[in-house]
Amino acid sequence: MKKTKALGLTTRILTVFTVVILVLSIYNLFSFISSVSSETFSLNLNKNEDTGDFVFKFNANPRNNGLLGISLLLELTVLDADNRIIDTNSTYVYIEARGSQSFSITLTIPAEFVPGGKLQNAKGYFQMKMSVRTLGDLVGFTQIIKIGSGGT
Amino acid sequence: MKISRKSIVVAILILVFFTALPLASPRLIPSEFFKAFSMMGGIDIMALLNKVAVIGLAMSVLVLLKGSVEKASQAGLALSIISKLFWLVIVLFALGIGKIENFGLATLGGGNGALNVVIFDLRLIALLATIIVALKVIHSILKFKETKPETIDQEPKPGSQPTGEAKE
Repeated sequence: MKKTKALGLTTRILTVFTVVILVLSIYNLFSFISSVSSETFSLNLNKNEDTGDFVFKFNANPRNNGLLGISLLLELTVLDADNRIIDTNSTYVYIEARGSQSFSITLTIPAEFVPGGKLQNAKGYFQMKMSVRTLGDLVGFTQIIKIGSGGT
Repeated sequence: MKISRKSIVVAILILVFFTALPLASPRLIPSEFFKAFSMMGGIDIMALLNKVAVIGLAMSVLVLLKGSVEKASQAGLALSIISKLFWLVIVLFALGIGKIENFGLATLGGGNGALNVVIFDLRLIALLATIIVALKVIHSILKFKETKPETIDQEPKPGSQPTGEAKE
């Protein structure tokens, strides 16, 4: 009888624990998403006049309003029209609860991929992979966005 | 076969909310909404609703069957185990947004060569749910084994007199 009762109690505790983990994780992830505003991310584009290369600088200052720490993996990739990688860069940051962390990622597009030195003529893709995880990286989500350029 | 009134009421409610409503929803909600959501989310909403309806039907049948058998019987144990496993299927179905085989990985977007995909990783919850169901199944079996000898002991033996002693 004791074994059965102990097992029943363990199951109940585990069920409550699972529900708490689920609610806490989802709350934490959505708190992070909701804190993202237009001021969180910024993109600067500069042209190196000597080499003709284009330099993208992606600045971020995300804030974590959740109750648990969050780890953020951000990977940016520039691909050509045939989906070959021109440049890729990534960073991993841990943002503590109620804290913020600033970082930047730089990508370079060599001049040979920019016809006529005009970026709007370049054909290719910009891909962003953002992985947000919480609860010791056990729960989270990953978003992959791929945008095509309007080159001709 | 006698079915308890409570089971009938619960089965009807499950049928209404999980089978009738999902099947009727395409007539109640504009089709444009379904098309837009299917394209954006990369999910076949109609197929998802049909799956929910099937789950609702199976769930109500299980409730009716559970209400018609003795809890302490072997059939009661079998139904108890089946319903627990069925709950796991429902949890995995919800976590995977219709895809049980993904075991807690839900993918939104990506349909029609879309360039925006979101993957929710709730595999930890799926794993914990599986452990809970396994423990619940073991608990049911142990409880059944414990109650079985008691019910036999309680049966009066031919020619024996009731002693009136308190059961330990």
